[in-house]
Amino acid sequence: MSTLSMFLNGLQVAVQPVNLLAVAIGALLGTVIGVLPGVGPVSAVALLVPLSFGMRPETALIMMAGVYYGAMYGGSTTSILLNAPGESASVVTCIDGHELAKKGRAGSALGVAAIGSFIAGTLGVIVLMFLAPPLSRVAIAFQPPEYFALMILALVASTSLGEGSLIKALISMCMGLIIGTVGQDIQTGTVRFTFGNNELLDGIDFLVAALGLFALSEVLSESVEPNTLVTRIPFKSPYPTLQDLKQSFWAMIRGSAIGIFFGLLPGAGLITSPFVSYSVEKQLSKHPEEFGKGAIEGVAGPESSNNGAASAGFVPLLTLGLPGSATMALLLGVFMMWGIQPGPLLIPNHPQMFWSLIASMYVGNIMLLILNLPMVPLFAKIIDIPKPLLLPMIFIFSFIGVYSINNSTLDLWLLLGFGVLGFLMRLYHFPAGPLVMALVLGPLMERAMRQSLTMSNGNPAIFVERPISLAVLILALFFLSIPFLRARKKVKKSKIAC
Amino acid sequence: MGPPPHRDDEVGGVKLIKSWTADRWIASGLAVFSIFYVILAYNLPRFSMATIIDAHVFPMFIGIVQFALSIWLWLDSRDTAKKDSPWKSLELRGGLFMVLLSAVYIEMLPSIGFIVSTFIFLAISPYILGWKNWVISLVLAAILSMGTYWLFSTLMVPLPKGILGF
Repeated sequence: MSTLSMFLNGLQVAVQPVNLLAVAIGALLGTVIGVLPGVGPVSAVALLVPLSFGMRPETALIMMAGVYYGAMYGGSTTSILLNAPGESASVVTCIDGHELAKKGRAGSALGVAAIGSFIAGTLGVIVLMFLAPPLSRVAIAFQPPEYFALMILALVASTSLGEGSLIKALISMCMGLIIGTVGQDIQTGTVRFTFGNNELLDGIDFLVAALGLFALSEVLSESVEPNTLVTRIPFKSPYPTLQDLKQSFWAMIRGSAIGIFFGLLPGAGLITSPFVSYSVEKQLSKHPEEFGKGAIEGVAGPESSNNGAASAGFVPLLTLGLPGSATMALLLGVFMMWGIQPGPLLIPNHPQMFWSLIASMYVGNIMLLILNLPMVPLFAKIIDIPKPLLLPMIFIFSFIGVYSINNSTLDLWLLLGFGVLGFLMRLYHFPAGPLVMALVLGPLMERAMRQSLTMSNGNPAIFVERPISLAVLILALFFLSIPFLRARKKVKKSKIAC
Repeated sequence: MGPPPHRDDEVGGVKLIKSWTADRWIASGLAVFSIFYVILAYNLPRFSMATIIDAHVFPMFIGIVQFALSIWLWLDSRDTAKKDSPWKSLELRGGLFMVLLSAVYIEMLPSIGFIVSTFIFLAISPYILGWKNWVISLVLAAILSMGTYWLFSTLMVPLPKGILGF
């Protein structure tokens, strides 16, 4: 069957009332939670996973994709109005977005962000639709050593491109792998690191870690902050002027292209692409001096690239099972929760699922634009909820989320533990994203490693003897060296300055 | 791999430890942790089938990597001047109360049930965080505890009922 007819089949599933409702609710709730100050996309997705438990797998995944989009979008609203980025990808949006808001042009910034996200999201899904099926046919030839190498690449890329210290990111990644080894080993049945606790036999759920390290630790950090006054910038309409659109149109297109390109690389896209897009726009601009003081292209480009990467990131996620960020790692976990293993066999084994997901992404993008744009002033009011009322609610929602996974109080204790751990990690600048990613990928990585070593009778040279896995490992090494190259450049610059 | 030369070396061991940065303490803790982890992994029961890669291999691998990384962090933080403690400007009281209250909440949840314990949690915690309007927080607590219970029972996700039956 051709791509088009498969897609039309998927569209039929996506426009079923249940699924339409699922996308709408997902996008709406995702935006609402994503708008909450301090709650980034990871927390938003993690908080809303439990809502999907009672649903059919297709509907549940469609809703979670909607939540993901909505949360990304909601996050940009907070960046622009509060100058509070929910994740490193929105840091760039803050620069010019908040400046525009201060000049009374919040509406322009929000509107351009929404339209740019829509364009990028739609283009990204088109790329996903045409690229994923052939790529998964190629990926079918991949064997465990290639997967092991790819997972290393995804983890390394996500650590080396983040803000802050590389060592700390690697340590946090390794901790995630270590936490992932708790529980009964699937292959041999050996019970590992449970200290006799039977409830730990199934391991530590990724949602417990994600909610603790992100949602709960965000709340804890907020609750110990000395009363900072939240000053939201008021605005009337979220619609940009025609002039704004004209000025930022090509920035949106370039941003989308950059985002989609980077999103296709496992582990690299979401963090890098907004930065790349911002510097490209600044270089191409006729008035580069306006950047940093409220240039509309400085919002349009990065926001588009952010969403382009978010959509294109589904290509490595669905065809190789490789998430590009902690948020995507959560989606991977949700897939596996439903017994669906993303990878080259996803499209051949669950074509209906794949195509309805694609179709619902188009629908979700449109819905986000027409539902959310007029409602932005309303969403912005969420920011005004006083912190003392908001923070306890996030606590309770995290508790419910965790309790609903296994009905276990042990999980709640673990959640609280992760919350405190996440708080300490924040304090000492250890990023939590790599930990969550590694926790989801760890068991898959271990399986790939053991299968590879079984293939080679225990000889680790198998990872470097196969061309594809060697190439991927070299790429990973390259990513690892980026922070060092950056550091050296800085040293050189400072020497010149002296 | 000995410790690198350090300005405070000549002052003596005690002073040396006192001048450690927070990162050095963290690195040392992590190194000890990873040694324990590797030992635990090494002592995992083995199967003697020749072809299978046993359950201890991967944990030992990542344990050793973690150990190496913590040494790296230890060495890397040598030149960083001792910064002000990040705890300094924080108002820890609120956060501490939230953690304690959560612990009580988790402990009480199975016995007194979701609605009652959530109501209590949501009623008390805004006050701790500085909200003085009891009417609003009580009404909100009532709506949210019953509302979420209703929502999740319609979604067929059971929340603890407790001795009172709700």
